[in-house]
Amino acid sequence: MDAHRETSRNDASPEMQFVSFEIGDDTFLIPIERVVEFRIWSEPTAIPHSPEYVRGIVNIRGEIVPIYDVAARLGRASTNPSDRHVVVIVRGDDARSIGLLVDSVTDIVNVRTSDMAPMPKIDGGKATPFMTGVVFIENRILGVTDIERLVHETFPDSDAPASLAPPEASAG
Amino acid sequence: MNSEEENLKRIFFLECDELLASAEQSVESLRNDSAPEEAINALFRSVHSIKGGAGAFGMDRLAKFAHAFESFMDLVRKARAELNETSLDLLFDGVDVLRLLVEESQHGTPAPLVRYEAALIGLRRAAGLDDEPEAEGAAEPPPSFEPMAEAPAAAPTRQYKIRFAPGPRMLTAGVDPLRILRAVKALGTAEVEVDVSRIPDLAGFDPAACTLSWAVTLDTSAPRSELDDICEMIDDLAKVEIEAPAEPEPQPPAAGKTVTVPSVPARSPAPKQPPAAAPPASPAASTQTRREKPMATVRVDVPKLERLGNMVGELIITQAFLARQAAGLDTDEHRNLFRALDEMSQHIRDLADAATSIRAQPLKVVFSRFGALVRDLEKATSKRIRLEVHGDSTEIDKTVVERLSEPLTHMIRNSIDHGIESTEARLAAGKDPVGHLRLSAEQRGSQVVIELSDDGAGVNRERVLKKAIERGLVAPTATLSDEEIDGLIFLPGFSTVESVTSISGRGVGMDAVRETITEMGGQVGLASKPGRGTTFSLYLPLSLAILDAMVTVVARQYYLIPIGAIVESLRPAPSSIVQMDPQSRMLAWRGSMIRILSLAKEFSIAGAVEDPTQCILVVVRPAGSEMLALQVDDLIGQEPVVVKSLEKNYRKVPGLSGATILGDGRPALILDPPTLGSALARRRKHETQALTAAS
Repeated sequence: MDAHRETSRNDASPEMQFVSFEIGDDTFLIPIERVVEFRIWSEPTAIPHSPEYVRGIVNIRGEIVPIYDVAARLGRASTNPSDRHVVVIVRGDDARSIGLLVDSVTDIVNVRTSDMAPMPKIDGGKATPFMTGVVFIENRILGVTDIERLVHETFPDSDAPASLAPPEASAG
Repeated sequence: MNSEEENLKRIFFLECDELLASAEQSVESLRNDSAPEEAINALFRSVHSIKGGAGAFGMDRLAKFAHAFESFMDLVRKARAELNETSLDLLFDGVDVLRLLVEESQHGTPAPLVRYEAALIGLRRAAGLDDEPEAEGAAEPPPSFEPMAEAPAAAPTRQYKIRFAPGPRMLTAGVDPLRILRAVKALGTAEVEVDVSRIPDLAGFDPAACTLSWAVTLDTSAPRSELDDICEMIDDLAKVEIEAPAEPEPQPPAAGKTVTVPSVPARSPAPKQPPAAAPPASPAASTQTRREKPMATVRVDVPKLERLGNMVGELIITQAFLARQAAGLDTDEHRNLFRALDEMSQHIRDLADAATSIRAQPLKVVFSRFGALVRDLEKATSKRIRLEVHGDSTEIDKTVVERLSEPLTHMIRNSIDHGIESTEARLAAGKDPVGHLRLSAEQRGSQVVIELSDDGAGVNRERVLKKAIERGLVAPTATLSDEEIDGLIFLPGFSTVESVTSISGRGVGMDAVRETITEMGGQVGLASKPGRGTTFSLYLPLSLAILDAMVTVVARQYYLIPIGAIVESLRPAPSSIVQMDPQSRMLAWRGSMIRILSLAKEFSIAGAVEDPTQCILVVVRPAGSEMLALQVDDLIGQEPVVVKSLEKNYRKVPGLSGATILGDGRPALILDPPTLGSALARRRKHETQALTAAS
């Protein structure tokens, strides 16, 4: 992508680097400093009592890291992963790490901060969870992934794991 | 230099923590012990070490207070002061204030002046220090209301000859020899001679090493102890010899001051000095040579220890990987390889043990606090309680020690609040009016077992059951065994107290205790006899990081069961399986019926073996709950595994205590029998309710 050329007009605002990935036909961005590594998809160890978008856990250099299906997390159909799918290991502010299962990683793009805008508040922000803002590139508008929220908002109420127990344990 | 001093201070405060803990413990045993010499000596050593450091760093209030404390103890040691309730209170209070003063020096949080003054005056009065001239450099003027100050009898002037040779580390340790000389000089009139003979030529000159030594002739009327006090501050850093005059002293010359001095030769004997055992210059003179401390210890930052632990963990994983790779090879052809693998496995086990033991700390560190807690609770409840502590030298992982304080505090509060009866009730029941609380610890295999027993009334099962039904924790029609009723007190939100008391707190109950213990990979047990008392048992792993586990398979996935929880593994005969209803089966085992928990069903794993007679049942006994038979497809074998946190990047998962990484590099889940058991119990309760509703 020639985004850097696109942004090289007389604009002195600083640049940020993003990694772009695709889910279906949509492209999303992750701030590059959040990305730890990329891995080819391989079946993780399944973990019980977890929401559907948690595909399991993997060993990343001795740490247990959960893999989230980004499509499922965004409320779309779950991914049917193959060895062409990619897992992006990202790290939040407090060193919590997760893996994001995406269709593909496409590029590294430089974006001037003047080409960035906060997320428009449509429907009080409910329609666009997990996005911190948008970036304008080549007449396209791309969403910037909210890594902090992905990493931390594991569950609506992460302090009450009992509510996630299988139906037979919580029914009644 | 500045950062060097900061570093030394940091170490000093670390030491203070340990010293204070040990001081608290000594005071506690003074109260209980019939032979207090050992305890008072230990207390003396702790306070003395704090004083030494405080003096060296110029923490005047702390040093002054420690000095008064020490002087009083000296009298107690020499049996000049009686060890009674009053003096014990002085000692208790003294340690408290000492802690406040250490905090003051460390964090700048001023110690409450009233407490400080009161304790200081108390100690000084008891030690008969009132007539002693104010110590040099003391920050505080003598309190103006200083009581019963006897006119000091003019002490005779005596002459001391002091030889003072700084060791090579004195300057780098941030101690200025000049300060020592000034302090000595302040005691009287001194004549100082400097010995320059050790100064090397320019080529060998090291500005960081002090090569000067001094000979001081001091005429003073100050007691010998003041001189000793100055010298003690530089115990480790210099060689000091004092020749005392032959006249009898008001106090024997610093008897006991060198109690801790071992027979280890000084690491830095200064040249041109007579050897340590040199005969005194005059027959009547006493020569003391100060030496280095005995135990060679190294302070290590916790992150470094953690790194070591992590590397050992990685090594175990790599070893498992190697073993798996080698498993396909011919054992005859590769005999040497297999021998080396065996040896390596043994070495790694030893290494893991060694790494574990480095992290280990004696439980004393937490146990020592409970004496004060029990005394406070005695006052608050007007019950009389005697706390017995056993096995507090048992060692366990440092992290466990730190996290144990809260649950144990809660358990003790709970025992005193609910277990031990009032004095009247005890007398009426024909019991000793003084309630007994016994806190003990011992190592059993790879576990440490901590028990807290009281001789109180035992769990009031009637009331517990009533509460549990009221709170909807149990179906009204349920029939529970005594053990099951006792187990109810661990349920979240359960509390038998009608009104919240300030003692057992509010809301946080024994469930919080169980949760903390479970988080550390431990288990909680409870045994109670009506009228006889209750015993809580905590079963804790020696190390948090490494666990002996049975590797099992369910639908080609590995699940690990802690060996400590396993009673037996068996392939059940068809006749031993009892089908209760379509959803549940039981195992007839040694005359009792045990619930079978299919892991495949519990974890919604597809593709597992359904028929239990084609499976392996692993009978586990989670402490504090009923036995369970875990149904798995097969067993692989026993392995030491490294426990990795699921919570670091994910969250706590019911039924699991963590994960590990197996030889193939993939994570495998570690089962947590207690939460599996309680999940089953919960389900059973709902079933019971459903059945009750249906009938």
